[in-house]
Amino acid sequence: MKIGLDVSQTCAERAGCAWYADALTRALVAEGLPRGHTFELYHHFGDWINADPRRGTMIDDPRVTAPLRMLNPAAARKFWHEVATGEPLPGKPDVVFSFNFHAPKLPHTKLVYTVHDLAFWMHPEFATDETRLVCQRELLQALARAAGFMFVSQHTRDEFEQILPAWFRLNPRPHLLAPGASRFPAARAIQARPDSAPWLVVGSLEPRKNHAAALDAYEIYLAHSSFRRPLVLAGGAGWKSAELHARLDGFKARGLPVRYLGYVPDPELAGLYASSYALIAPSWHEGFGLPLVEAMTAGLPVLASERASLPEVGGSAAIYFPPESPAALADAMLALENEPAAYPQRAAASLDRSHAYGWAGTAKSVLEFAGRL
Amino acid sequence: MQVSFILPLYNQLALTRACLASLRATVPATVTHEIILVDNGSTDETREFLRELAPPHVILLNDRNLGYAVANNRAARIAHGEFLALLNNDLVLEPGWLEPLLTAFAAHPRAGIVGNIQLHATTGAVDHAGVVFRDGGYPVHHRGELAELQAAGGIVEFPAVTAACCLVRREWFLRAGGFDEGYFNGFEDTDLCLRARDDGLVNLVATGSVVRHHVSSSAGRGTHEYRNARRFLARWAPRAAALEQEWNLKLARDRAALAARRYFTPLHRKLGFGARALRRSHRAALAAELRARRAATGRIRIGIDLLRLQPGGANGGVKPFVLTFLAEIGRQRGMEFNFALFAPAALREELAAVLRPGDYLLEPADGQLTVSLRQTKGWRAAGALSLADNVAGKAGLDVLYAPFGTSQFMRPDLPCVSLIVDLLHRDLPAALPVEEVNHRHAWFTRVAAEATFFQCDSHDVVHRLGENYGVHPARCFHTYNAVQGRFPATGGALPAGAPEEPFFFYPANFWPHKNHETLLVAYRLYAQAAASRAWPLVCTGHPDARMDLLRELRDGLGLSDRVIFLGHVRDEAFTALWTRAGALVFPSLCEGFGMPLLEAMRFGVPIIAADSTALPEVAGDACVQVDARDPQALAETMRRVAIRTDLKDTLIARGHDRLAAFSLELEAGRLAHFLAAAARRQAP
Repeated sequence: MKIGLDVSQTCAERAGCAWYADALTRALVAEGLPRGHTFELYHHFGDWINADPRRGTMIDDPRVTAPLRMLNPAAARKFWHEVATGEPLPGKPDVVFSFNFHAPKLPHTKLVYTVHDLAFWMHPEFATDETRLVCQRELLQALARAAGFMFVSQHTRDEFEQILPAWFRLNPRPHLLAPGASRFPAARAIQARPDSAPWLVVGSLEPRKNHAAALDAYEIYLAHSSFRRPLVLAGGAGWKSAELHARLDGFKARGLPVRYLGYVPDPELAGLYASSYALIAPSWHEGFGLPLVEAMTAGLPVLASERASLPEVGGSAAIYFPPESPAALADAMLALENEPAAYPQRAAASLDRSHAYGWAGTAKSVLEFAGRL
Repeated sequence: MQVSFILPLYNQLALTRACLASLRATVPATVTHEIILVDNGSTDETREFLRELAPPHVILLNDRNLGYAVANNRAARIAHGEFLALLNNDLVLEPGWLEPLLTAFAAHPRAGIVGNIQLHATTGAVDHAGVVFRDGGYPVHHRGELAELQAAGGIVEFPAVTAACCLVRREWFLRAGGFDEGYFNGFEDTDLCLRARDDGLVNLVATGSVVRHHVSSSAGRGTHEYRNARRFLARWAPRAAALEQEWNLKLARDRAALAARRYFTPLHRKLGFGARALRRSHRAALAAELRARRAATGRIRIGIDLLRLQPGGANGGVKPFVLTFLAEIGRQRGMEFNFALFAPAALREELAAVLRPGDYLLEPADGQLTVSLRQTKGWRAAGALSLADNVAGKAGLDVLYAPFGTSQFMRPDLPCVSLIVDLLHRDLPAALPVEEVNHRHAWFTRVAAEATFFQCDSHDVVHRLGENYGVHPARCFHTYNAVQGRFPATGGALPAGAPEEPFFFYPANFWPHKNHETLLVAYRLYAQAAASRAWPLVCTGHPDARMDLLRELRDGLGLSDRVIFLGHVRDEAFTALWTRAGALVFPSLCEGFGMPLLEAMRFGVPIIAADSTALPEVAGDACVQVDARDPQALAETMRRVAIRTDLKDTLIARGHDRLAAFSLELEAGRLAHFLAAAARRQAP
């Protein structure tokens, strides 16, 4: 099979969907080449045109081509316009996977559309206007155009059912659960964490991620904790986050041990997971929740919001709290800390749970799914 | 009933008694009236006194001192009189005070707020004979000698008058929203007077009406002076300063005219008084006065740039809005306008209704403008203008009206009124291509610096224009798009494809900010919940590539037979659709006004509207508001409105009431007023 893969989002500062595209692409290639499949990577995809595509995912193998990687934006726009009006894609792929929410018209090939989340409909207040307008239009286009669908979690599949009830019953289309997994290798053993190991929050600073609750909880925690572990936040500057940034500056001015690292590249993020005490994931909404899996893979206990996909991913390994209650989160933090004997069990449960997710497994089921289309 | 007298009270019972006694003694027996007394929580014996009063006295009690504005507004809402006579309780009314005020309304068709001369109760000196502005827009009383003031005429125009004793039409007062309750005991009256001017009304002093006033025995004014002044100046400073300048010019002109007249008396001529230069300067003063007088009364030629107008519905709501307003301005009496209309040749027929004999149509052809003169029957060719020339100068324009915001004919020496329909590129930039956002931003920046006045669709647009481009509200005026009357009352046949049963109706072009995608998803949710009882959804709008895309999305959702795209629909068919529609659903994410809201009110159709931008201001309580970004909330609202008869009836009744607030005559009159003010280079 010739398989086309959208890696458009990997060309800029990466977040969840981009990591998903990057990791799944690598896994598909790794699993697919031995089976005789060839691949074509698209560094621009549909209306997603990159200013500079050269930083995007690349795989050095003659059987993996990247025909658009050298196209400038104007040429890329022209390319996709021609594709929509009937020009075949260069390698004439049998199937093309979209990971970036876009559903371009592909008259000569089958499109598989990845649904990451429906937050733009479930919680419009947490999406930018641009995200909302683009995502809803493209998802609706996918309903008219795609030959198959992938959902990154059962929860996202359930949300789809909630907003578009019975669509799959009335429009029989193959669909598949294709969850993400950690980009980093699993910890070999549970490591003891020093008393100074920090609490970790991973995700760009935007309203949906509910950093405010983590900060509120952390203040309560500090007042009661005898360890007073630092709090470390990793993630891009985000949007609608002026208040949050001001608050972080305030923490700094007060001399509290809160560190905001900004966007953290891969190797350092792996280091963070390895050296932190526990992950806090207070989001109002997630389609999957990559940091959860990655923290668990590193053997970190996880304190997670009880909303959306987080309980599905965390399973029985995570400790849950309602995201509207910083007090509940603070209680959970203090409880974890005050029972040092239970910590290794928590860590082991995390590591255990993380084995449920693996890119190789997801890639295998995706390849099989593509074969059935 | 002719007059409702309104007296807000706060203690000072002795003064109240005296005022009421003088009122009863001076109201002519022929004038039907009521006396509304609003007590603002008096702590003396006022309450006991009020208890003893009988009709025509009407008593309103407030628990505490809510201030002058709230008290009057409350009284106005329950009043019955054609006129409201707003009175302070520390007045002593003199015989014959009321009649000149009533006469002023009879004599002046555009009378706004009519005040009178007020004497200091103890000294007898004139305390108020109108309000003028000083020190950069701060209102002060005009004073002078009583005899001299009365010699200037029986009815004299002033920028504003005090509301210590004044007469105003109740209908207008209520429609204008009454006094601004953001003030507390001060400046409310001046603010109201300037709003009356915005509506094209004039404020008058009837000099034959004289009363006495215990000045500033009213409590609680001084303490709020600073806050009130700040509020007033924030809203009006540039306008008030311009009125101040105009007043000073008038004084200077009066003096010059007096001097010129004296110069031309035979005595001066015989004496050969003065050198030739002096004579010349006096003659110039006289000529200037004549010019000013002509400019204040002469015919005004308005250049209207409609070059971006397109046939059919591609322009959206702007087209019916502008054309209906222009036709109305042409109809209104008292405004002498002459149109020079710049428009593409393809639209001549559509524009014929707007142009009256003597108006010009300028159509671009081969880098030129072909000029045609409208005649009673047909057109007469009247030459051509080169686009490279100073078109505005050659066409003799007094003012330029730019309904598309900007115009290629703008010049620094030509006053210009610019229509701003929304700030989509700032409020929802994601709905426009980035080049369009940048383009709009560039021309907004330019127009914000250059236009004389801004016509805005709603207060929301005034607000957003100020926030985004620093345009002071005194340079803006709002005109609600009260063009709900544009469709015939009874319709022709339903357009082909329209359902016979009730349906949800969404008339809107297929622009991304109109939010059709969410509506489709919400509609699917609704249709599944309502099953066989679900109303269909009908969308009209200019057919374009987006409509084709939305059709594709509709099909993808499996709604092909339930959601109907009719394309552009003619007026009669529109009426047919409105009379059959079950409800208007208006989920637009950004609107400067939202014309379909008024059309729904007119045709008795309940409204579901987004809670965004100007929609709440326009629809008020006559709609169910919803966060239109949320398909589940929208679907639930549609379900509720479709099945709940009581809700539908309430919405229809409220819509009917609310519609009265939107008068084409008044709104177009405001546009005419600002066009005239710009053309005559006067403060509006």
